[in-house]
Amino acid sequence: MDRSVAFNISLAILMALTVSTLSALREYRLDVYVSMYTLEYYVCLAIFRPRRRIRFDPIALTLLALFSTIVAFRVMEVLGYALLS
Amino acid sequence: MDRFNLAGLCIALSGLIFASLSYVILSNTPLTALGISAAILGFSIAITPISPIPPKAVRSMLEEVLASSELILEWLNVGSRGYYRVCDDRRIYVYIPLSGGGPPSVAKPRGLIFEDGGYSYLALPSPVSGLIDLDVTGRIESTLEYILVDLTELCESVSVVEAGLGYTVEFRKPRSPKPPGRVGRVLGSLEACIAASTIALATGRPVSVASEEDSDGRRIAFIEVYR
Repeated sequence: MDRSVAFNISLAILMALTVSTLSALREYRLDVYVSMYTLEYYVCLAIFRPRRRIRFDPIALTLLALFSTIVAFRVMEVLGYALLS
Repeated sequence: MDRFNLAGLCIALSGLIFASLSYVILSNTPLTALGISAAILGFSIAITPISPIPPKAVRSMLEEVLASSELILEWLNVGSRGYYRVCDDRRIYVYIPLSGGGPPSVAKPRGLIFEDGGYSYLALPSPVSGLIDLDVTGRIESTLEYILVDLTELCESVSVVEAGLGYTVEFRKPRSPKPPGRVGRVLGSLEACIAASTIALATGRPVSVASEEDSDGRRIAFIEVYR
């Protein structure tokens, strides 16, 4: 199987599993879902190394930016700035 | 953009709309997350290229071109190391000395066999000239990775190190056999040929495949750059 196709199929399966598992566990924080998606995307990217139409991967960059923001908010929360509920 | 990519874009947009509505109207986190996952997957599908020609077909075509070059070299009884050089029209040619001599000073060949500085050369277009992106300056490794790993699947990974008078290029798990005979001596293997053509285009200088050896599932080629 072409590794780009394998990447998309694996990502779809992992994301479906994430949504079903986390919702079954009654997880209502959106940042947990997004963090898991970021992790899954990067793991699949490292394993399958899919081809891309464009030289840089905009999804990877967006997810990394989102993940960094989430981490920053969490750190601020630990330090005493209650920004995320 | 073909239908497959368009379908991906549709999934992405639907996912975004679904996520927004789930978040604003329903205030439901799992459904919002489902929408976001559809958007990610859709965009991923949208930027995945569908290759109309399978990499195996591209690889076998290139191998056939090398086999044809072998016949020409055999017929002309040529066995000297070839010099890869970029022509004025940005095409890459391999100049093979017929009677000794270093890299030719002219950029554009004047016919199949021409003379330069008292030496005769056979000029053949590089078999991979059309594969290489024109703007490769400073992007040798990424260009080689794209051609060798993604497009033709000739090897699993590639690394380039600038070393002294040239570049050492390492191909991990090469899939094409090292060509025996004249082609191996003159042009190098298919991987080395692609590497030499890319470096010639990136540096704008004549280059040649100075050495090439296989060991431990790796092929290491040294591409010499001439001043």
